[in-house]
Amino acid sequence: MSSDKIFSQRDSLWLGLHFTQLALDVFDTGDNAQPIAVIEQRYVHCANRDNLEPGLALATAHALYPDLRALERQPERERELLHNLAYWAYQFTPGVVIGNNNTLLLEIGSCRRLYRGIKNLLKKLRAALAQRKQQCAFGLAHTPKAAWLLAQYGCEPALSIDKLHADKLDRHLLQRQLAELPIDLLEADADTHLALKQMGLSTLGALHDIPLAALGKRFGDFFIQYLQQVHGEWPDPQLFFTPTPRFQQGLVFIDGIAQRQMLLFPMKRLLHSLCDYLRARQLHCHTLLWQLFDAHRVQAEFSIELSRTQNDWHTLLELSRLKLEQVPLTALVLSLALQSEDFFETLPTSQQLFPDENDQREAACALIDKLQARLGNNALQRIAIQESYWPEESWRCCALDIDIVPANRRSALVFATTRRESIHGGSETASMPPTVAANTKADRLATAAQRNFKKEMQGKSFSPRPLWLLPQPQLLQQRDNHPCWPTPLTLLRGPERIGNHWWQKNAEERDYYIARNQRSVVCWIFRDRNTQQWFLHGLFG
Amino acid sequence: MNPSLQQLLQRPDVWRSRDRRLLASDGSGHATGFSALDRHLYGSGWPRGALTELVLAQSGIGELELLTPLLADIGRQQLLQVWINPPFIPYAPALLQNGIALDSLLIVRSEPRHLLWACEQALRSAACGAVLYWPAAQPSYAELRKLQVAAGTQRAVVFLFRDGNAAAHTSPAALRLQLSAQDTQLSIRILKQRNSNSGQHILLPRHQMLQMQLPRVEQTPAITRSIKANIRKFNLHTAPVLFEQSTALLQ
Repeated sequence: MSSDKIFSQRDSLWLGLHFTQLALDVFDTGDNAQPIAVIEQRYVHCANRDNLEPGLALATAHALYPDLRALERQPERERELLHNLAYWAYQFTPGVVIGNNNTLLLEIGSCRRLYRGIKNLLKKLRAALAQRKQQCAFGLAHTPKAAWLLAQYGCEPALSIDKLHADKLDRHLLQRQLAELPIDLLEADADTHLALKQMGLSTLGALHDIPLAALGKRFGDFFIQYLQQVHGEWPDPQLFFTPTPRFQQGLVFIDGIAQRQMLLFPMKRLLHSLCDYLRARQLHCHTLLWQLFDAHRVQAEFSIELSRTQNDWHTLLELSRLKLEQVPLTALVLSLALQSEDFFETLPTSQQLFPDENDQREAACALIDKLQARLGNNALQRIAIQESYWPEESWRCCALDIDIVPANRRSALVFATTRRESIHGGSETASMPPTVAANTKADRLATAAQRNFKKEMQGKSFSPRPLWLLPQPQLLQQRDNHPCWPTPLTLLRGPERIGNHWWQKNAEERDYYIARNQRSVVCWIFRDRNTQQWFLHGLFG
Repeated sequence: MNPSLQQLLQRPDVWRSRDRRLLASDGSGHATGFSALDRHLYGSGWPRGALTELVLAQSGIGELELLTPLLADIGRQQLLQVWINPPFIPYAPALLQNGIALDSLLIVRSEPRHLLWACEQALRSAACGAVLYWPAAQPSYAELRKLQVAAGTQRAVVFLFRDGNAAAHTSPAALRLQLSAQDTQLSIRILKQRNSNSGQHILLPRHQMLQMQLPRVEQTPAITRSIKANIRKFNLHTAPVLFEQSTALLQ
C-alpha cells in the first residue's frame, strides 16, 4: 500500500473521545477517598485505583483493598450518560457520532477555522472535560475508524506545526501510532482474532505489511473493507447524532405582571408560537412546562401533561389557565418561559362527515385533561379486577395516567413512540416512558383477570358480590353471638368461606353472609374465624 | 276557548297533567331495563340531557342496582361513565357481575369545592354516557340550576344522589325519584316529572336476590358448626364451590 493513497480525504479530521471511566462516572462517588470498583459478573469492569485492572476477580480485588466498595455495572445508565455527553459535545461540532465502547467520534475537520486551529479546539475540549471531571482518552485521525482505534489505545494527538504556523495532523507520526496498535483492538469476530494471533501478528503495522489480496483470501471482503476504512481507502459514512427537538421561548415584562389574568395574554402568545413550531415540523407535543420568574429566581413552575398529543393552542391555553389558577403568585412576574420537548409525529387523521367513535375518544381525552389539570393527577381513578379470592385483593385502583377508553390512545401512543425513534435517530433505545410500559403490562394482567372472571361467571353459579365495598371492614356489635347494625341483622344467605394465605401463619378465614337490617339495607358481613367477631364489609347498593 | 289561552297552551313548556296526549312516549329516554318503571316515565326511560334526582335516606337499598342495566349499556356503547365522589368503593367484581365494563368507568374524587366544577365539565363533554354525582354537601338551587343547564348541552343521563330531606326542597331536575326499601323490594315514588304525571308508586324486586346461588341460612349456629367440622376434615382454604356442595348435602 502506498502512503500517498492512505489519506485520500485530507480535509476530514476525526477525534475519538473514549470515556474510560464512564462505568464509574454513572455513580455519584464524590471524592476518591474510598476505592470503588464497578463489577460485572463478579469481575472488575472499571475502578478508581490503577492496580484494580479490568478482568480482576472480585475476591482478589477485595484482598487488595479490604475497604473496597463494589457496585454492580449499570449499562442502561452508561448509555444514558453517553447520550448526554453527545449532547454536550454537540456544542463543539455538528458532527457527533455515538460509537461503540463508550466512545464518541467528533468530526472536527470542518471546525478548523472556527477554533483557529485544532490545538485550540483540543485545549477547549480538555478544559471542558476537566470541568465535568470526566476522564477521557483522545484519538485523532483522518478516518472515524482510525480515530476510534487510537482513542481506545489512548494516543497523544499527532499534531505538528507547518510552515504557515497552522497545526495539522502529522502524517508520519500518525502512521507510526497506527502501526503500533495491538491487533486485539480491531473490531472483528473471535475467529478472525484467533487466526491473526496464530499467524503471529500482534500489531496493526505487521498486518499492514501483508498484501491485501492475501488477507482477503483468508478473512473475506468484510475484513478487508474494514481495514481499508481504517486507512481511509474506502468510504465510511457515519450516522450523526441529532439532538432531540426542543421548544423553549420566554418573554420578559418590563413592568412586571401581578395578576393572573394578565398573564394569559403572553401565555397565549407563547402557545401560538409553540403551535407554529409544531405545525411547521408536523409534530405534536405531550408535555409543557411553564416557568414564572420574579426578579431573582423561578417563582413558580407548573407542567401540563396531556393524555394525548396535541398541537392546538386553544386547548393548551385552557389547560394552562386551569393550572395557573392554582399557582400562588407572591411577587411580580418579570418573565415567563415555556418549554416543551418529547414531541411525537403527527398521525394523519381524516375528518369524518358524521360524528363517530373517534370524536368521542377525543372528547374523553379532553375531559380527562381538563379534570386532571385542575384536580391533580390523583383525583381520577380507574378500577380493575385482580385474580384473587380475597375480597380486598380482588380489585385494584389504578391511577389514570394515559389510557381510559379501551384501545384508542394506547395504540396511538405505541405508534407514536415507535415513530419517535425515527425522529431522533436510530441510536435512541429508551423509547417508551417507563410508566407507560408498566401500565400496559398491568393492563394486560387486568384484562386477563377480567377474561378469567367472565369465564367463571359463565359457569353455572357465582356468589353475588356487593356493588359497594367499604374501605375497611367495620366492626359490628354483637348480641348473643349475633351481629347487630344497629338492630340484629337477619342473615339471608351464606356462609361462603373465603381464606387467604393459608400456607402462612397469619392466615385469615372469613365466613361471609348476606344479611338485611331492619331498614331493609342488604349488606355483606363476615365473621372472622379466629376472633369470632362480626364485620360489615359491603353494601348491596 | 279564549284564543290567547289557546296560544299559551301551544307552548311546549306548558303542560296539563290531564292531557293524555303528552303521556304518549316519544322514546327519547334511555330504557331503564325495568319495564314496570319505563311505563311510568316520560320518554319511556331515563331522561337524556337532563338531571335525574334520586332521593334516598341510606345507601344499600338497591339504588345502584336500579342503574346497572343502563350502566352496562353505556359500557357497550363505548361511552364514558363518570362517578363523582361515590360514598364507598365501587367493587369491581360486582360491577363485572352486572355486566358493567370497567374500562368505561372513571371515578373522580377531590375536595368538595371542586366537585361541582368537575360534574359540570363531565356534563358538557360529549364523551359521557352517564354521570353519577354524589354531592359532598346539600347543593343550592342555583347550583342545581347550573348543572341542569350544563346537562342540557349533551345527551348524557345524569343522576344526582341526594339524602332523604332533599325531597322537601324544590329542584330544577327533570325527574325526581324517591327511593326506599321494602323488604326485598325497591320502592320508587315519582316526586316530579317534567312533561308528565307524578306521584306514581312502583315496586321493583331486587334482582340480585334472585341470582343468588348461596344456600339460604336456616339455623346459623348449628349449620355453621357442622360445616366447620366438615371443612376442617378437608382442610380447605378457599373453595366456594365445594363448600356449597357440602352445605347442600347437609341440607
